[in-house]
Amino acid sequence: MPLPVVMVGATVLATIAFALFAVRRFGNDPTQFIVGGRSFGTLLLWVLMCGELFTTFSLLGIAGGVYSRGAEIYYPIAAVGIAYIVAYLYLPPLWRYAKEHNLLTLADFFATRYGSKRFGAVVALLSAFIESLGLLVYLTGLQIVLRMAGLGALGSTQAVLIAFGLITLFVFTAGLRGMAWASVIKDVLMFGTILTVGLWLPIAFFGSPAAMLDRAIAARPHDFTIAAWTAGNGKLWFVTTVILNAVGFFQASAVAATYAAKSERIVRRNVMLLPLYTLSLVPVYFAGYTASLVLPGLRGPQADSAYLIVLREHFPLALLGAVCASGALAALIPSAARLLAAASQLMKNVAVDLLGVSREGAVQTWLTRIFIMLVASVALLLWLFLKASLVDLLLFLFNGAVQFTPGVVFGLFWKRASLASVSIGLAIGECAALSLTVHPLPLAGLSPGFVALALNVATAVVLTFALPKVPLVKSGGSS
Amino acid sequence: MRSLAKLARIALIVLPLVALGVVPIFISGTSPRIFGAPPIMWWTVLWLALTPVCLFSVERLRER
Repeated sequence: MPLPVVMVGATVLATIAFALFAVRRFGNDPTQFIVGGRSFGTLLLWVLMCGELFTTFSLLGIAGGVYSRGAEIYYPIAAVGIAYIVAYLYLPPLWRYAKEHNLLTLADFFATRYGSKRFGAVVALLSAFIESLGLLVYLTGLQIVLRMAGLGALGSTQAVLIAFGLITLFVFTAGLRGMAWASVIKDVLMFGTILTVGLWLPIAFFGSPAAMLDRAIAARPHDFTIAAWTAGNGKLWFVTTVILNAVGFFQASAVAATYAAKSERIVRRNVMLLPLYTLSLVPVYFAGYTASLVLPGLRGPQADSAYLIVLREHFPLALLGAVCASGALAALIPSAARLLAAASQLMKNVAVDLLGVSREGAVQTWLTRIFIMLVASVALLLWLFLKASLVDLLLFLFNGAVQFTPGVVFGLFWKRASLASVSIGLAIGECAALSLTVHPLPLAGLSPGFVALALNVATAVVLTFALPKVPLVKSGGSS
Repeated sequence: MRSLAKLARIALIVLPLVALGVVPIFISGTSPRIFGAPPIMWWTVLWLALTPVCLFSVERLRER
């Protein structure tokens, strides 16, 4: 068996073992299982957030974009920076609301704030569907990593099944708290390998990162200016994509992570400190540019793993093994987060709140676990048999997930925002996102997800003003 | 004095928003370079590093 494959396997097993060892026994309380008992301090929350938010996209997708695209590939850096500013404004009030009303999930916010369990259940189903699509992206990312580590088509599919099965059992056992501990290893390993590879690659071939950038600029002088206003990836695309990604950065799983904080102050401090981890994206750019100089001409998915191919051909195999190992964790930890987010919403907002299954904590925790197995199985089956025909739906993933944010922000800051206006806005946003994904329109270079988001917001605002004021269900104070 | 602090807080929020969301589209070409990095790279990375600084300052002003 190739060395990198052994390293991936050993790392995944060691991470799971470490987390299971580190996690305190927490019984069968759903609050413990889903939001860690709202007890996380700054460091553990920071580690968990970094663990969830930096995925195979950071490791492969951005490098592939640097390899094959122009200046617009700087959008992730801009978007992540802005995402934290947006988060600084709305996550602390969201945490406060969640604590006051004992919320467990994203859909709980919609059910409680807008006073409709049915709306909560609809949001839960929609969100669970979107989270499952996210799983398919990670499964494919995991397979790319395992193939680069040296497995063939069949071997890598089998390895994906085994790894995904293990991580499912892991989150089944250890819940959110276990994920946070597993993220400790993932974050350190990912940071270390990105830094090593991002510096070593340009130094080995060109002497220093600066000398490498000299060559990259000489070779592709036009790839450092963003294209014209309405070009396919021009100025309008850049601004709208940055806004879209910033608004949609904290999705259902990251909302659950926010609830896990011990205090509002910890949420604030955490959001302020997160940009520091994002600086680790910079070496990924170095790796991408180096690969484009050393090994030009690759296309499609091959471009994403261009620097891994360079590593395989010119460096000790152990280095490729380390990158693949952190790549595997970068797919598996976020998968666990999405599994838990989907399962907890199906349990809390559909089974318990809507169908009245059980009021008992232990039953609810076990129900969440059953949903974890269910969602994981469905995602695996879809991935195995329908991968090719799901490409369109995968594009829908992000554009669909972002549509929840307006309802949260309006709910927190605008007393008048009501069930009717927000739910119709959400419905229009989701329909627009889906139809623009299936039938792409030119849109003068605007990002389709942004157009859907704008329709969502506009509908909610107009309807809120147009509809008669309805008294809030129970929000304290006079309304 | 209070309103001044509030103004400063708003400015410290808007500044990185504009610097990261809008300014990059007006950056063109490959000079000036800092440590070999082209303008779009050093500008976005610089502001990503400055964002926590801005947010810390907002937090300080809020606590007073």
